[in-house]
Amino acid sequence: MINLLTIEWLKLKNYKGFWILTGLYYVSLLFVCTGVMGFLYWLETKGANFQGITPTIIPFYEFPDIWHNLTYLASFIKIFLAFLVIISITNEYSYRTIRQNIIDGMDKKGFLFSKISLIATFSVVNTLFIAVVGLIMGLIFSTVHDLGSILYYAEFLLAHALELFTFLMFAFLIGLLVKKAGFAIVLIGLYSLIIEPIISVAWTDAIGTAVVPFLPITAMNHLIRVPFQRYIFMEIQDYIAWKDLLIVIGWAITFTYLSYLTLKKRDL
Amino acid sequence: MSTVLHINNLSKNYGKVKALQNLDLHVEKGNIYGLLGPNGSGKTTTLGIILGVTNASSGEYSWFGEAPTAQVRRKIGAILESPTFYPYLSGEQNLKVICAIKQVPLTAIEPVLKMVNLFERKDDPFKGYSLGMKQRLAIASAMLADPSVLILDEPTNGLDPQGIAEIRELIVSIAQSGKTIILASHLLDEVQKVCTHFAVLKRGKKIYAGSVNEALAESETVEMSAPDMEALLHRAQSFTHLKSFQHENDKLVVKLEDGANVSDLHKHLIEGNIVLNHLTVKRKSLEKQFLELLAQAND
Ligand SMILES: Nc1ncnc2c1ncn2[C@@H]1O[C@H](COP(=O)(O)OP(=O)(O)O)[C@@H](O)[C@H]1O
Ligand SMILES: [Mg+2]
Repeated sequence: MINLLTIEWLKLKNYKGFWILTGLYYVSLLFVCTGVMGFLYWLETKGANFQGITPTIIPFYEFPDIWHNLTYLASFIKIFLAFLVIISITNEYSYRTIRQNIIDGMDKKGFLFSKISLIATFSVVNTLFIAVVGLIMGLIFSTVHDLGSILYYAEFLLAHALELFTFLMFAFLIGLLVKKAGFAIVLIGLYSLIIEPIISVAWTDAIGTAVVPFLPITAMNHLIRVPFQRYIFMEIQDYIAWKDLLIVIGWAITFTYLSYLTLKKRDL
Repeated sequence: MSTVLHINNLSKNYGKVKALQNLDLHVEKGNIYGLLGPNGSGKTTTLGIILGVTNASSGEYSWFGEAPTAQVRRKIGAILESPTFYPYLSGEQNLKVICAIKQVPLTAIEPVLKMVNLFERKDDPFKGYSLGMKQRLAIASAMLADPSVLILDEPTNGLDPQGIAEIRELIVSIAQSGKTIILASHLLDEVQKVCTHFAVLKRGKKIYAGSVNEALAESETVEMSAPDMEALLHRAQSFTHLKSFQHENDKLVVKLEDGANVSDLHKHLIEGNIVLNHLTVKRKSLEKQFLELLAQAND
């Protein structure tokens, strides 16, 4: 596994485009994670209030709610990380280097594992990034600082890692299937931002209600539910549901297996 | 001799296109084996299958007597069609990726870059290389793990005459180091100059296989004349390895049996005190034979 990750590292470490996109992504993530206070101030200057509550008193960075809040927000920009994964596989096709890798002595499983190790690395780094930024923001803005409160909702970080991994495996599979970066990016965007959300809203009969929770994007979105109604004293789901967890794990396995089958069956 | 590659009844269909049909092939250690055939005859398909990137429709193959695995491929250096590298990486960085795949130390890089004369340009990005340099980098990468088998697919395609000469020289010098080489080419001249053995493919079928020398010898005719034609005719007739014997105009034209060579005949004449004033050996060019083969196989 280490060797496979090394191979991936050697391919990417001198690739300018990769570092530019990665840099932009993490700057955006940092902005998303730290900018909420500024956003709330901005709302206040515009005279906004939520049922009598001024925005700036919303304790967004309070431990332990912060983990739920941050991981929920962070999942909105995961699609940009998916672009990186798509490029890393479609490049191998457009340069035909995937074929040369196999000729040189990788097996197709090894090739897949090298990409999975890249995706897993992204998921872990992303989660650590949020953990560190969240810890700093929390220590600054939170009124409680005891370890118990800090760690209480840490499961959301793990769920975020799983959500990211699953989504990136989905992106990888699409990239692998269509081989063209632009096309894959458009497909992913269309499906995850438009098609499935419309289906999940519009399909409301008995079958739809039963099926929709099993759709991949919906399942990933259900993993970490919207946390913000808690600030207007409504009930929220402040835990990870087993059912959602299992569905997402099921999709992660499915995407991985379909990628393997595609690689195995296809001539390079 | 030990078998390097054994191909048994290999076929590949692309939909209705029969790219390869029931191919049998045998490559021994030390062979410089030419896979000769016009474009579209199935050379790349064959190499793709034995390199693990194309799935065969039926049939099997083995390397070094073993079932093929990724491990085995690390001991083979191969380029299919055009050189493929990461364009944004330098020559050396590309070879580092391959070192990691083949699990050989990075110290292997310098000697192969020097061998192909690219050491000075090792830090330049691959995308800036000329076609000849790309081809040479491909050979360097194939040689990286000091493989016992080298597979080259149309290595001189698209090169200028100087580039072609450089690559051929390189192949010949690698061949002299005792490596087994499999060379696919549509250029007969290339196979004739470089190879010891060859097989001819046509529309996915093997129509000939044999050694280059034998193929050449099969068509050798010897033309002789002497001041004393009578004595020459008499003496030559007693040479036991003649296939045919003809007296044309004022010349004697003979064909030799397989395995016999002109110097044996000449020695036989000298021992009979025959002095020649004319001796030519005519080889029907492999080109002619190749074209004949292709024509014969026309169905
Ligand atoms: N990926 C493919 N899909 C469909 N047909 C193919 C494919 N690759 C090769 N062929 C066909 O198979 C035949 C053999 O091709 P190839 O092995 O590339 O020949 P060569 O290398 O001798 O020029 C040709 O008719 C070619 O058109
Ligand atoms: Mg070819």
